[in-house]
Amino acid sequence: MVYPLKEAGYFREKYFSHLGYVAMIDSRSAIQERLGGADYDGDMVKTIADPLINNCVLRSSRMLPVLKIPAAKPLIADANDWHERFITVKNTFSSRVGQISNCALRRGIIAYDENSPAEERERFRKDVEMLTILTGLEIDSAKSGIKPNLSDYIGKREANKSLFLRFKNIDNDNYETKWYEPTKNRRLKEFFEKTDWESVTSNLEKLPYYALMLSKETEKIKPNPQVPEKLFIFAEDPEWKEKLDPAFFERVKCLIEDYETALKRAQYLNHIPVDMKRKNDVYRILFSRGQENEYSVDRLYAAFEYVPASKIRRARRMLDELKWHLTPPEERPNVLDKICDYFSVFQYRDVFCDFRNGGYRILGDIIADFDDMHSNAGIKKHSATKNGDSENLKQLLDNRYVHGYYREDINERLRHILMPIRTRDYNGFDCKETLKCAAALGKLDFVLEIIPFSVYEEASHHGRKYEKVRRYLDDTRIGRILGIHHGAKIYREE
Amino acid sequence: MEEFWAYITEQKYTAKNKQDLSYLGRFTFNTLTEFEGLGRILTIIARGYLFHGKNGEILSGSAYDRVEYARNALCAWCSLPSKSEEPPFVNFGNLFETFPELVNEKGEGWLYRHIKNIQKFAKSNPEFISKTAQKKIDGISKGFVNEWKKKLRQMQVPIFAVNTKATWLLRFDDILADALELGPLRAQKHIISEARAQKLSSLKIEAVPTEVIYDVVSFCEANEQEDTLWVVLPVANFDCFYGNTNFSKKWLSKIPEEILTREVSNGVCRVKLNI
Repeated sequence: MVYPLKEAGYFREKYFSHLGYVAMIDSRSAIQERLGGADYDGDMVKTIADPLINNCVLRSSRMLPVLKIPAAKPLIADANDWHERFITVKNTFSSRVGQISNCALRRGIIAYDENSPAEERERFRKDVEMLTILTGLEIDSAKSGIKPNLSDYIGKREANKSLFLRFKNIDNDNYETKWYEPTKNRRLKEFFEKTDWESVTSNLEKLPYYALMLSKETEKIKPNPQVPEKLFIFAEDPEWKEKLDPAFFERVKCLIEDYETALKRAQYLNHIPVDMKRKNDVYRILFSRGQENEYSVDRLYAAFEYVPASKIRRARRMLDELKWHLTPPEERPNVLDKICDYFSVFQYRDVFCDFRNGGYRILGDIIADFDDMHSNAGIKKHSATKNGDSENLKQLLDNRYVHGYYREDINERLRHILMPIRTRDYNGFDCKETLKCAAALGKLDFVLEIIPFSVYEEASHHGRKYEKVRRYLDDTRIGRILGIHHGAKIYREE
Repeated sequence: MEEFWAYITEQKYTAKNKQDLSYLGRFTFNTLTEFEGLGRILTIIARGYLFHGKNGEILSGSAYDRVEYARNALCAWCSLPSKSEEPPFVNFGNLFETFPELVNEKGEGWLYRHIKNIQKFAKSNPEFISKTAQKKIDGISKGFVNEWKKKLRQMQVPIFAVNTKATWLLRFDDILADALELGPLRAQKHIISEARAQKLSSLKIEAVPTEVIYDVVSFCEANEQEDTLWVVLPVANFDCFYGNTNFSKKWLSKIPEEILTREVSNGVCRVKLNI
């Protein structure tokens, strides 16, 4: 254990008292060697002040071992030999630190388990110390080129596979399971059911079981969002809602509805695919036939580029009606002409009529892609604004994207509507009154997203009133308020 | 033809030890779970019914006139004994009289019955089933019917349907078109040309069994095209033929460049003979 000095002394006060989050260690002590890797040039460390954790460490060992990582002579290699150069670079990437760490964890579980036999504890404690040294050597091997010999530890299963690591592997696995594989929940359930937890002596190994029991015994928190009366100064008046101007309230309500509609429509339009997704299929077929260099996918697509949408749609219907894929070879040129009698297609007649390796799909893929493209363009054109949309909604759905992300652009346009440039016939919104109306409607997110400064000015904290502030903001308070916006909830105080 | 009979006749479910997967028939676990190689299996079945009679003889007339008959054969092979349904249907028990070898009155198709028989064999012969295989069989038992139902419905969607955005590769339309293009099934095994056989016999390759190299070269020769040296290799089906995944996982990558060049793109493996 290390303790801070009782008195810093004159010189330390004079030269170091301005520093924060800096731990200075006496160079004459053995602390830095215990850190293993500290080389007197400054380093980042993690300090733990939790008394519970520190007491656990003290119980295991009063005197922390000093582990000296032996300095090995660097490996000399011939820089002109390409093979030695390759091995040097390869050693930089192949690091077995993870494997060493897992080995150390398996042994450490037994070494620091009070219920393990003393002999085993001592043996594995020495193993863990050795593995610490090997970790240092493995890290240094990228520079020294010397890989430590790990054959005594890796590959030999002396300590049993850790339950904790097994649980961690299952729990961290976010890979989407296939239909024939057990789901993650199923694997976790089996893990807990098949383990005899009574016989597990190590506290670390039992952690997953304790976590499961804790989640079962702990009542789930029911989120209870805070009411405006607890958040805002104006809401301390019990009749604050009745004092709102009805006409202005209606105006704000319509604006919020338009904003939500604009976001939904923009989100839908944003997810309409624009790429030609069947190009890969066309390439696959050409590749199967060894023709990928002879015919370019883009040039095949270009043959249909200027064909009108109506003709493309007609061609797509005819592919199905005439059963293009089941056309005998001698009839294919005629049927192709019926489906698409464009000169640009004629030059690729041989490609389209060659049905080997699924070649009948090429024509269908290209026509389907173009048909989908025209169809999506039509949806985008006609869905953005509709008859009956208000002026505000039309302004919000203006197609010109400045920021490249629809939400930011809509928010920016909404701010222009709320706070337009001041002219003689100013028609903007009073932000304070807008906040009150939004709070009455339960739409705090709207205001926090668009005009958060107004929330800050009217926010109260535990009933205390704030003084009017200057232009620069108090980061801590606005962060707390924005915490509501980003998902944190303020729970009702019982 | 040998492959065709393997996929429509009754199977024998046996194994010598835990490593022997003969009870799977001419399938691997990958084929039954990921449906790898299933397109080629269905194409072989379609070719059998388009071009051949009950005894394997070549039929007269145009195969294009038997497309619906072959489509019904595929439906029968894939049939599931589902009770209440909406179209597209999955129970083709009504085809029992036309294809008694492929489906029974309850609508249990050949593949469905094969899966059930594998499960029965595993249950009554646990000494021949490894832990890994047992896990896979358990997984298949739980989810096969639902997964196959989805697949079967998807396979019946017309290839050029206007309202579909999907680009699936496995549909009955694709299978029938490929079958028509490929023509009748080969009755005899292809024999490698003498020149190539001599060159192969002089090579000593230890990493790959000799018969595997001969099989690959024989396949490439039999499927050569006039206008290209490249041949698409159905890797998953080679695994099915050998009864394990050694071909795709070990041997194929070790066949030396002096015998063949291999390239892979978009899930297609093509090879070119250099010998």
